[in-house]
Amino acid sequence: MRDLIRGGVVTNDPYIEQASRSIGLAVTRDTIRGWRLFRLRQNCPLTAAILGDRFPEVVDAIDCDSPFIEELSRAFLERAMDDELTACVARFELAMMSDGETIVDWPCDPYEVLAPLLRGERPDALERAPHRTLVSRTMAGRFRII
Amino acid sequence: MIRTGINYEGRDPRFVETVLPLAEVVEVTPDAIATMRGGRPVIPSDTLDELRAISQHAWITIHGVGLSIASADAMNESYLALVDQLMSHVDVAWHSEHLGYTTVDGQHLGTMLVPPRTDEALELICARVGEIQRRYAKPFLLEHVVNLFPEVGGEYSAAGFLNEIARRTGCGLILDVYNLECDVHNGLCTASAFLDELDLAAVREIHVANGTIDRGLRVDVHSRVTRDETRAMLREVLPRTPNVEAVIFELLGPYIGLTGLEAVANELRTMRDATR
Repeated sequence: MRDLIRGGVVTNDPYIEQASRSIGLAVTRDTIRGWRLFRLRQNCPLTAAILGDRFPEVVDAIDCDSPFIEELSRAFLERAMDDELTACVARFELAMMSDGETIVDWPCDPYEVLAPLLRGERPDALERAPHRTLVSRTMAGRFRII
Repeated sequence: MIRTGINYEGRDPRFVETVLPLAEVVEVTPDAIATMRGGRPVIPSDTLDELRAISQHAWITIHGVGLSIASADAMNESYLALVDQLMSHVDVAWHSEHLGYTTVDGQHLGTMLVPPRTDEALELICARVGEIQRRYAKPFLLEHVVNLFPEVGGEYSAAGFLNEIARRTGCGLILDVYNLECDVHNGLCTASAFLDELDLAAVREIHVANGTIDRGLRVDVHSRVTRDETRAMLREVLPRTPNVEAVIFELLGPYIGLTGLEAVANELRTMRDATR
């Protein structure tokens, strides 16, 4: 059943063969996928927003079957490295979830990126202006420009 | 008195403030409140503190999804470690799980599947129920699972399999009214046949929930408040289940915001009215 759900080879087992033709298989696969997308969009909203239409494609490429959202989020954020800005947002979001302090470098003003993403919108073309942020979930405001 | 309650996934002060005062039972899913630390799931100490505080005014029950009691290879030890942690820090009324499997060879399926109802599976599951009963000095309950696949078959009917596990091990049962509605809608059984056959005296807890219909199949995603039909079935089964102690409304944490706290609170009030 595991291989069947994952889209793998169907054996000559009569039950598995019957299950492979069921609507339930398609519904189960889509429910699993839909739940992953939903949870990752909730847990990693900034990276999901900057990926836009590419978000489902990046999630589908994750090789992680963990039921724990931290592990799934980590796998997603490490995969979301489409371009310099997307990679930067993913590193920032990863740093927000990590223990300790992390430095994240930006090619532009992070506020110009984060403000639209928090509204679920992608930022417009931004002026190049390198910034460095220190991120820690124990810090008031959770990050600051250094 | 039948207590009414809801599941809680921790760290939601508004939920604690708005909804939990209405709950006489708070169902906790170890897998849902755990976080990863050093590569293994643990329940954070602040969550344990929060549950201890809640236990001052409501029963806490543990209701897992990750045990995988029907896996051919083994039960999930990391799940049991979470239950160990909860049991040692919080006064728990009982522990329950689903009669299904979520892992194959240690790999997560991302869903829960129904085991074949064979004598071999029965022996395996009963032995594991016994292990759990010895490990924790608390009642253990099993819940039937919605099946979206073709009928799994075996020597037992769905209700007969549950009855035999309860008879051999003395474990209790959870009757999930919405799961039953799903199986009925999906053509696997009729409600009357299932309820007539099930040993309703073994039922100690009832669940209600709601989900969606996808390509004609009713799916148990626990994503919204209950339908009138579900409440009607609850009222129908309550007089037939003399040993029920709790009715739980289940709503997955990520859907609380979409449902709205006041709607969730109203659901608890409705449940309470239905059980009084």
